[in-house]
Amino acid sequence: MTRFIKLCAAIAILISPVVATAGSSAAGKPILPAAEVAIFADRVQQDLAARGASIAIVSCMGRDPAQMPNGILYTHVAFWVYAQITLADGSRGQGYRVYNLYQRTDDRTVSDLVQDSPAAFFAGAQRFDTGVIIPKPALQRKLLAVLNSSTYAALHNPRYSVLSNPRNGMFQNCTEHTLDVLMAAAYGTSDPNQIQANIIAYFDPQVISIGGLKRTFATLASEALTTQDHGSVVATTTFGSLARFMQKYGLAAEVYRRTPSTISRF
Amino acid sequence: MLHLPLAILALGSVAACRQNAAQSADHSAVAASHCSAAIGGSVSTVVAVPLMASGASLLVSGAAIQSSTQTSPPPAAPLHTPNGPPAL
Repeated sequence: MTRFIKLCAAIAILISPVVATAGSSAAGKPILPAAEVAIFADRVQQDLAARGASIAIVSCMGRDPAQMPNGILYTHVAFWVYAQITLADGSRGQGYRVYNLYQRTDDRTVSDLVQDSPAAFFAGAQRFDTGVIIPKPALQRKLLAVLNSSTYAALHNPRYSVLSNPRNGMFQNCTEHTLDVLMAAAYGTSDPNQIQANIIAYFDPQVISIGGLKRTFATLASEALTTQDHGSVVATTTFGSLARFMQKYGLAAEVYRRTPSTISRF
Repeated sequence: MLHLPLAILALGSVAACRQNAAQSADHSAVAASHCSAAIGGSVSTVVAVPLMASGASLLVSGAAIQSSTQTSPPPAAPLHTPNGPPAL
């Protein structure tokens, strides 16, 4: 029996990187040098400001892309909001605040809504590489209204799953909360059931190739890897599926990829 | 006139960040949280505003604050009829 448990644990450890697609934790042990992270974060801010973005959806690579399923580059997304920031000494300036949904570090099955800075957003990144969606100006105004309303928090479901199914409300992760807020803004509704109906009708989540055995053992690695909210096909919200949805329906002004040296269009 | 002091502060924050990183690799996560905006430490208020100007010199990188909010049970299920496709 002990050998069986050890075997299960070993398999779980082996498969966990494969299914860990959308993990959204606040920065743990940093991979990249802090000073360079700060510079990169500020470059991303400068790009957004230069494009006149009041609000954008920004992503980061929280895991080694070599470990990710095909078609998935980014593990975490959040809204970046251009804001007036008043510092403790009373001085003021403009910059972007980041509206995150993060897994708790002491219980990976629960999440919180957390605001932090661009540098904190990238602090746990594996690469200097980000995908950015700038919504059309009309949608930016609507998104800002939602973020400043009680709807933003009301759409948060703290039951966290890495592979959360956006077609039902059992679990949620950072990308799905972003999608819910996006739908609330686009349709001018705070009704979660109406948002759900529109997601089912118009949003195509990213299908994740994961076999039955991997699904079985995934929850041994972490309860946050549950797929109990899915049917035979596992599909979840990703940066890519958000971008495709927004491009398909004319909601995005720009979608691009930023590295330290390049900006390229998706 | 607002631009220059902020630019100087931003440069100062990067310098502070480098120093932090050099001092302690173990604390580099903390440094990352604060470094791009070590301007006077903590943030007192954050108010979303329309974008009035752009450019690097106007940017102040945020310092880390943690205001957590959580709530709301999972939405219950009866499905509504979808609206039309999203349009602006």
